[in-house]
Parts: sequence; C-alpha cells; structure tokens
Amino acid sequence: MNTTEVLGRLHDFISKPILFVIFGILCVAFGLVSFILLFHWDRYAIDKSAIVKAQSIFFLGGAAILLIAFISVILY
Amino acid sequence: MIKFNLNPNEQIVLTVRKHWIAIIGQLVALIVAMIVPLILLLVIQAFVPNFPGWQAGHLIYLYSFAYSIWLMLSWSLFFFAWTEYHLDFWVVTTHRIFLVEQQAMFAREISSLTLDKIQDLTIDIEGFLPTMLKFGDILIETAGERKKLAFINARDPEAIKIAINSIQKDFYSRPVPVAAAGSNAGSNAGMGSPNVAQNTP
Repeated sequence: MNTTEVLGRLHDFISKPILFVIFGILCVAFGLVSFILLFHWDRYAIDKSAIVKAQSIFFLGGAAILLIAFISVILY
Repeated sequence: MIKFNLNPNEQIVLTVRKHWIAIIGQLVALIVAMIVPLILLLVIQAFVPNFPGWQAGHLIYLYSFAYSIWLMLSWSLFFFAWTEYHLDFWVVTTHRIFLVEQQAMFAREISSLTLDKIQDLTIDIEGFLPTMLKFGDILIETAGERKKLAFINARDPEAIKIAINSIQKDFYSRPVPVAAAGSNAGSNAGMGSPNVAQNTP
C-alpha cells in the first residue's frame, strides 16, 4: 500500500467516534485550564477590570476554538 | 482579589507593574502559532492540488481538528504566561513595599520591605526601545536579609523612583508612635517627646 492509498483510507483508521473522544478530552483540558486560571485571577489579582477583560477574551477565544473542533468532527 | 494586611494608618500609594513589552514575545509566539498551520495548508493546496483525501473532504477536516487542538494549546500557554506577567507586581504603601512575585503557576512569593530598609534605589534604562517606550529595571539595595531586589521591565521606572523617594521622605518626616519606633523611642524619650518619635533613615 503506497502513501496515496494510506492517506486516502485514513478515514478508516481515524474514525469519527475516536475524534469525538479526543474532542471530549479537549473540552476537559479546557475546563481544567480555565479552573487554574480563574483560581489565580480570583485569588491573586488586584485590579478587577483587567481580569474581567482577560476572562472575556480567554473564554470567547476558547469557545471559538472548541466550535472549530466540533464542526470539524461533525463534518469529518 | 488579593488583600494586604495593612496597618490602620497605612495606605496603598502606587502599584508597580511590568511593561507590556514583557509579554510581547509570548503574544508574537501565539500569533505565529496561529498563522503557520494556515500558511502550511495553503502551501499544501497550492503545490499538491491532487493531495489524496482533499477531494473526499475528510483530510481537510482532520487537519482543521488538529489545528484546533494546536490552537487550544497555544491559547492556554499564552494565558498562563499572561497570568504570570500580570500577577507580578509591587505595591507601595505609605510604610512599605509588598513584593509579589508570580514565579509560575502555583509558585508565588510575597514579601514586604519597610521603607526604612531601603538603602539605595536605582533604575536601569538601557537602549533605544526602553528609553522610547519608558520601561526598565528597578533595583533596590536593602539592609535586610535579601540584599538586592529587582523588578525587571517595570513601567515608567523614572516616575516610580521619584514617587518612592517622595513616599520615603514623607515616611521619615512623619511622627510615629513610641511603641512602633523601637530603640529610637528610647533615645527621644528624654528629649521632651514622650508620645512620638521620628523615623530615621
């Protein structure tokens, strides 16, 4: 089997359920990172306004990335 | 939010923060990490238009899925770096300086230094960019255990030096209660000032 055939049959090796499992792990990892960051921001910051901005940017960006991942898995 | 254990008559005067230049490297790294896979995709599509799997569609979605994992990693690392940058600061009060150093996630050091312990305060602004963008290092020599303290890439160190010198001047000219004045109180006690003593450098 040559490279072309392997790449052509990649779908058989990496199935949609496997990608959904990886997507789940990605969501859990994002949750963990969010928890660590929120813990530090809530406990150790001194200016609320910068933290509110950082939270908004972090969660909007994170949600957008998860949406890209989800759409990719759905369309795969 | 963090709370400092201030004395009754102690007030926070200023906060010393890092200049945005200290985080610019990580920001550039994030932008590069976001752009490079997209450029790579364009290059693959331009030079290998018959790349197996593109037509069927599944490879492009697998690529975008892998890209989103890569983005999430870069995004998280950038915000870890930003948190370390943002939670590194000094708080100058009317009596002392709180030195808050965020070394890493879950690694943090907070110490305080009374203004009378400061022996020398030096600022170091070297180069075109630091001069133009107003950032540099603040170095404090102390009489305490930690002989030298440094705040690297501080915002507007000149203004901070002037402000700390001014606060120090106020601190020394301010009368303090005898109980808090320690040995100075004893030497002043016989000079007609039973309740107050002077802070001395």
